[in-house]
Amino acid sequence: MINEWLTLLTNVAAPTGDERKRAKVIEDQVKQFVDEVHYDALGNLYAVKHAKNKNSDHETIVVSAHLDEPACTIVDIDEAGFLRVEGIGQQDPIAWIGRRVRISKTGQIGIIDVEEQVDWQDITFGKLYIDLAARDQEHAKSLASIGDFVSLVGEFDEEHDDVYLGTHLDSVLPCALLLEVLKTPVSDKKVIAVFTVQHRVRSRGAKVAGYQVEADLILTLGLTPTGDTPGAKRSAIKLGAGPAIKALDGSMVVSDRVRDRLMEAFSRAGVTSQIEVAPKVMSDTGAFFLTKAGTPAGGLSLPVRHAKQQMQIAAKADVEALRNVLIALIK
Amino acid sequence: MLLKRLTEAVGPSGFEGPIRQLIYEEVKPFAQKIYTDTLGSLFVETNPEAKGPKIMLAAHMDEVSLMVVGVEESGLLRFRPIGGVDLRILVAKMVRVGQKGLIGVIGSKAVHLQKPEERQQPLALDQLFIDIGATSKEDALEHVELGDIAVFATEFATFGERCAKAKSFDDRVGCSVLVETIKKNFDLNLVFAFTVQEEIGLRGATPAAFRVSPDYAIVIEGTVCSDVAGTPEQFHATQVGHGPALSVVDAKTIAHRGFLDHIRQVAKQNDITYQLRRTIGGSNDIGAIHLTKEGIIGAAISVPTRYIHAPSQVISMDDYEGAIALVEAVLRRFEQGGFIG
Repeated sequence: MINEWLTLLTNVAAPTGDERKRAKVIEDQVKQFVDEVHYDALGNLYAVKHAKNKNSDHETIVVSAHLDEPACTIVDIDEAGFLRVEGIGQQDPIAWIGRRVRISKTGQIGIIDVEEQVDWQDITFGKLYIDLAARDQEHAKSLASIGDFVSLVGEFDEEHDDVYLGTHLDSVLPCALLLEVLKTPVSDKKVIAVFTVQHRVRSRGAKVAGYQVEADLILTLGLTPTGDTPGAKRSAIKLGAGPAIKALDGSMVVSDRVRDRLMEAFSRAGVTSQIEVAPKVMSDTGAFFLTKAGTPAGGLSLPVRHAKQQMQIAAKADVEALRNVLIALIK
Repeated sequence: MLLKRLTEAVGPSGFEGPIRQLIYEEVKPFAQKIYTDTLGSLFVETNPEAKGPKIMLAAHMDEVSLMVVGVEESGLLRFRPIGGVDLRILVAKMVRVGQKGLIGVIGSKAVHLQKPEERQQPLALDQLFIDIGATSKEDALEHVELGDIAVFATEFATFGERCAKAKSFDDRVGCSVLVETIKKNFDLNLVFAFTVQEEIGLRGATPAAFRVSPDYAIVIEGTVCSDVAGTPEQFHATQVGHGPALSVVDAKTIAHRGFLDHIRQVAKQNDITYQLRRTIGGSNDIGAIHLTKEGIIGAAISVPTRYIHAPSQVISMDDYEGAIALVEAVLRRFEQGGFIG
């Protein structure tokens, strides 16, 4: 089933700041499993499952996954009909070169390239342009407008037995997993799934989502880079060795109490865990943790290869294991 | 002229007293409620009993400036910038120092005495000072205190084809749009917030939005504009005379797509020329406001400002009047039921 969710989500773009289309797809799917669906001012999507026994002093658990993927915005359309862009959020312009991209509003497809004779180290978004194969400026303006968002044309490879391979697994895979988990009936807990926007610009969606929900525990689903590829930065995380419990990342340090509770859920589900220590990884966890007077928050991460690229690999075994852990937590 | 009085008033970040007093006196006759908060932002409510959505309009009062941090034996003042000031533009400029508004001139070592390698580099803070005409440290300290502020001593003037120059169009032009809007009648619950400390990290806007807790927020700004010689068009950001600029993406905010589209539509229907702000750099108070509490739907309408953060900033009066017209048109649409988002 995860395969089908991934195909569905990958086919609809969610550039940072304009996630409405992907949110709508999720809304349409999730309706059948939950009691309530709504949005907030920024576009975060909430899917609520009420506790079965409403009289009991039930616990509320929030599980979040972010919707957005790397995006550019169009700042100029030149006389020859080439589009000039800026990247949204911290990202590497080199990862875009030579890729097929789609204009969010019009659906037009083009190629991003870099001006010739630019040294590798001098590449900025100011040196990139999109070629829509427009005849001239006027033609280009009929295909795209200044202020439109641009994202990669998504790909998902269904051929692999053991791994998922596709574009922007960091957003689509946790969303797919969360959809899958929401099928599970809950008993004495209220579960709120939050699909957050604007994760890639320092978790702006999570900042207001944390204020919206009254939660006893907020968990963020994400991905963490493995240390098992050639020349990889030092990390004990391995692909396929189990989902990781976040100890710390660039946004927060997880409390012992939350970590212990997650450890306990892993052992109940019979799943082996890894520990994520990733000082440079940014997650929505920190924004949730600092909400209001502070909310217990933690992160569960799937090991992923090629985290910095537009395409990643994750292990099916890790995803299945995390599914079991989440079910043990919310049931 | 309002714009002249607003731009010539003193109001560095954290020292907004004089500009706040000026705005207070200007808008008091039109206010039903008028108050400040702990940080010093000024709030004006014109029709708090009105039904419908609560709409916050915000502009920041503070301007980039300098602070006196030391006095040399010779009586020359050492200073540090408050907010983003390009040090290269300071030398030989006139400033007004302290509450008394003493004349000061920013000086440095004479160019013929600078070593060749010094001339290659822009003047750094330790090579610059403010000369207030004092003869000694003691003399200087009779007129200024450490911690006094200094602002650019630029006078407002209109010139050329519908242009105006002044200091602090960022964001007195926004304050001016708000004041003009306060003077009109709307059947809406409007809260006007003149915020403090925007230039040092949007500090006033955060508690302001938390207090007001509006349904919608619109920030009026003076924004960066580089439509000048030597800048390829893709880096212009905005263009003077092409109308008020609507933000799509900046360093702190991605515009609410629905509200942005709505404002563009209102502009079109009212024949108000506008442009999109074409850079992702810079930010304004909406960056803090839209992330307040459960999140607030908002937009930024800006007047393109050449040479922003410098002593002489240039705007087009057409863009300024366009911003006033656009704000009114958006509010009139709210009166009619407006934007449902």
